[in-house]
Amino acid sequence: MYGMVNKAVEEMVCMHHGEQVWEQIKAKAGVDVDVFMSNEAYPDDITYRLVGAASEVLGAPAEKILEAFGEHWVLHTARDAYGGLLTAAGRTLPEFLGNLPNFHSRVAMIFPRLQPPRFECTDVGANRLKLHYHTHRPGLAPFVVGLMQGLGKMYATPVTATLVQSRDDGADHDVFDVRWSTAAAA
Amino acid sequence: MSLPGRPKGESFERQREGTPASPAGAPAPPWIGLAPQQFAAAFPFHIAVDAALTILQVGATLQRLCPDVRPGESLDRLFRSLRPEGRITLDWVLEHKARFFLLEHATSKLQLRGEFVELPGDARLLFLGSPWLTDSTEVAARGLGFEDFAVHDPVVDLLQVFQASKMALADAKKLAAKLAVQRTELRAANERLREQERESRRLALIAARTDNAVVLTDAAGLVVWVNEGFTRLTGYTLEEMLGRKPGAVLQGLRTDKATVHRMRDRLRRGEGFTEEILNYRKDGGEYWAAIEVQPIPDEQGGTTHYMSIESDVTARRAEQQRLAVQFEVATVLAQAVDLSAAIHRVLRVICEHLGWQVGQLWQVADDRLQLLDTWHAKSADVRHFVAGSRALRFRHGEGYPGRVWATGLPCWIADASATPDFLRADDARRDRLRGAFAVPVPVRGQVWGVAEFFSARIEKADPALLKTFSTIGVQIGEFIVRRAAQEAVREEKRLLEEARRRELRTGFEIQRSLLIGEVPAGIVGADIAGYAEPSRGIDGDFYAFTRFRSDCFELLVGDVMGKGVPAALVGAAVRTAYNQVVTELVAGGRGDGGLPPPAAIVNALHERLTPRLIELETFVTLALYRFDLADGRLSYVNAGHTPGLLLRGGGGVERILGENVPVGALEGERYVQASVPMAAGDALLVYSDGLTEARNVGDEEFGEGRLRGFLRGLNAAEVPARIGLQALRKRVRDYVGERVMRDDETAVLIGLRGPLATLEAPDGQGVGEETLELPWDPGGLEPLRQRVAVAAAGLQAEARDRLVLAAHEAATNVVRHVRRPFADATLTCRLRRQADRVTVELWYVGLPFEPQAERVPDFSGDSEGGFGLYIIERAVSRVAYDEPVLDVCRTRLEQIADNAAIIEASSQDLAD
Repeated sequence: MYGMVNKAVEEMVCMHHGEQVWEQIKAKAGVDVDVFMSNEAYPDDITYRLVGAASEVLGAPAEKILEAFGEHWVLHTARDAYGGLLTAAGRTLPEFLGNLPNFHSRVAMIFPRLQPPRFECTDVGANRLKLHYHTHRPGLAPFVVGLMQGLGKMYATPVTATLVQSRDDGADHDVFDVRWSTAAAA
Repeated sequence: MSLPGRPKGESFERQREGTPASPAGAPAPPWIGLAPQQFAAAFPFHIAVDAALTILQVGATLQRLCPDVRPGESLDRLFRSLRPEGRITLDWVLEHKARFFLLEHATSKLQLRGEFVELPGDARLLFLGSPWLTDSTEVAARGLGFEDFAVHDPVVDLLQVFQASKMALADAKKLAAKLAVQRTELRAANERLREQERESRRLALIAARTDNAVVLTDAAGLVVWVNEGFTRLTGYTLEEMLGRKPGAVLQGLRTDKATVHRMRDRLRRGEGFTEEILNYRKDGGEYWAAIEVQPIPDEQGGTTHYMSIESDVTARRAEQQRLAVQFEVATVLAQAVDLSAAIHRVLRVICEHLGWQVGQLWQVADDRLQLLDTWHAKSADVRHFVAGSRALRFRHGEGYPGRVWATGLPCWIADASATPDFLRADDARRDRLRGAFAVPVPVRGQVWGVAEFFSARIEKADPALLKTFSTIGVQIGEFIVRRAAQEAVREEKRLLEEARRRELRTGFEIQRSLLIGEVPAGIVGADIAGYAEPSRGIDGDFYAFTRFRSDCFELLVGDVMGKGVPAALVGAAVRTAYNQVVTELVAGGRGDGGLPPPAAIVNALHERLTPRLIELETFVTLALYRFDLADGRLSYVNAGHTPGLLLRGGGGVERILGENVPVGALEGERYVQASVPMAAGDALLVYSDGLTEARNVGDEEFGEGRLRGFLRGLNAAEVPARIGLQALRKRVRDYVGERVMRDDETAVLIGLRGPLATLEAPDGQGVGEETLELPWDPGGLEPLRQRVAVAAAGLQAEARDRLVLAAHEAATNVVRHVRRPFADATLTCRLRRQADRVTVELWYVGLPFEPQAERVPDFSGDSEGGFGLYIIERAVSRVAYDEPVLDVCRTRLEQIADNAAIIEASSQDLAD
């Protein structure tokens, strides 16, 4: 997992609960990293441990943490990290979703050691599409749901993301049915 | 999805080169062209121009960004070339065809990076490129989106790379900052650590070498280390102390429990403290330790160890104790009046300070030492010892105190119970008394007595202590001498004072009996009062009354020059002569019942006295006033006396003065009389000049003006004469304040009440008035009851009884609750009977009642006043309280004759 993900967890915890709680979570997770480098690859279990420890310390289920984290990722972390690039990635929610696959492809090319997820869009309609989420990391579906919610807020477009096919059920990747309101998008 | 574009770009290059890329000999690949729409999609930023550089075609996105870049416009006007530098012409472009171009749009400053491709047809040049952006923010700023770029265009990839490197740079900066902070912290921590190490090495060195005892315990208070100083002080070695609590080892029987609790408390809270505490050495010896304990904190703020530093302050404590005892004994003796009380306290102070059990004082009497007093600690049961001591008498040199008597030196016994020649050894054993010391109490070089002290412990002789107590013995002796001297002085003073008082009293008696006449009884229609207050014991002021008839009397007032007994004797002689003269003249009268005129009396007096007064070199000022109420005249002779003040009922004040010289001044003097009319409501004040000449703290005289003003008020309010004089006395007293009266004060006030009848009438009816003096004493009010009953004899029995009750309650209230202005102050009751009512007026000088303040009756019996007021209000027809003149108070009760209904109603209330 690249450092930006962990950094995002750090930012989210610090923003809502303060640095002390973050240090507590880090200590609980057994993570001894002062600064996460955004584009550096870190072992996946660091992220999982951080999320687990955050769940324990904050007393919230991991899915909720991941969901909140996804939203935070879009609204704060990515916005700060990518700046104009994020705005350029789409004038509307569907445009952004359309660019999502290319974006991750480029990341994969630029940083060959990172193993970013792969996104595909199919069944693209006026107010819905199917988002295919390919990753070798298990259990991150709630994170994607949070991402969608964050994007909905960013574009002021009410959006829902429903997991219609899950790796948990034996499928080879997760598929989300993403729907948005055209009225608001227009 | 895979990245598209690259193959398309390559095919395009081939087209641009215009030469097949395949190796020679290979079959020519098929010609690949692009439909205009495909071209526009592939190159959203292209520009095609003709030979004159006139724009023929523009990519859609470029045209959106730069609206002036449109067909028909000239390329070289709209753009300048930044790389390479030069004016854009067809030839120049063709010349640099191999280069990449960086064009800048003149108006928007948008930079386009690309290349020029030469074309064969009308369109001679085709610029293929895309915006050159180095910051992702520019994308949005230019109104661009990823959608605007051809998918093959690597600019977007580039932006993402730029962004990633920016991120990396930001991360690196953040990391560097954090590292810098950490490095600073690390350096500081290192420095602290080194400092701490130095400090601990230093402390360890000090701790090991210091004379003080140092103890290091763990957080639980168990010893982990002690220094040599500790072993020197306590006798315990490190090995003996390891793992033990210092308190458990060192504290003992006489260690103060409260101090131990305080120490434990502070330790429990992890706090440091300093205390002084009695500890025990390994050999059982006591010592006083000043202890300072400091917690040694760990980094988390907890306590890892306690460091305790103890020093031996036994000597200092002992010295302080000795000083304290000495000081306290001195204080006790300085304050004491009574010898036995002082001795008892001294014994107690010494024992309590030392923690000894018994203190005794023996006194030499009849050649033996006898026990004078014993003090013992409450906690000690020393019955046997005290009883044994009491039963003993010691001869000079006999027994313990006898030896001290004989040698005159203090003596110490470490354990009296084990000393064979200590006579009370058995008693001491039974009462557990061991250590003893005794000191002589010397008075004028002789042993007056011996003080003994006993302790429950074996006491090692302490030379300093012995010295202290020898001093205390001397102090007691000095006290005894001093007290005897004081006693003598006090007795002498007492005798002197008694003699002086006796003298004064005698003076008063003389003055009263010889100089001051009784106010005549049986004068109807006049209210008479007088008082004389000598300034110092006795003086020559005098006055005398003579009653001729019930409506005629006279007053002689006089003042002999000089003071003291001689003046008083002359005064008395003048009075006696006056009485004789009057008697002789009345007896030798003309037989018509006519009285000798005042001038005749004074002239006779003059003839008789003047030669002797001249002999005695003195004289008398006097005035004789004759009141004849029947013909309403006041006749008088004034021989140099202070003028009388005649107060008119209408408010005027006249001076009554004569033109004669004092009696005894001139032998040939003829005294003449004058007269003025007088009527009811008028009053005469005769006074000595001591009254008007009284001075206040500002040295101003009271003065006649002030006196006149005051009298006017009194007369207007018809204040009874006796009360008027009391008010006047108080007024002068208040005026003088702190000062002492310098001169005698004598005053007589005579108020004319008109020809009123007395209250004595057989049927208890008819108009009448009476003025009654009452003592300021609840037990002396019986006359009031009687006289009110007489006054109210004509009322219905119940109304009468109620008036009597109310009058008695009212008078009781005054004497109980009002502060008496003078020791000899009285109440005056003026009773008046009119046709339809009886009025009782109680007059007094003092603070007025505030009946409103006590309105609610209190039947608990605790508050007589409140209850009394209630009774008074219910019992009579009308009640009024007022203060007609300052300090002169009046309670007026009125019972109206025909008030059966009112009485009925009030009796109902009372029954409730």
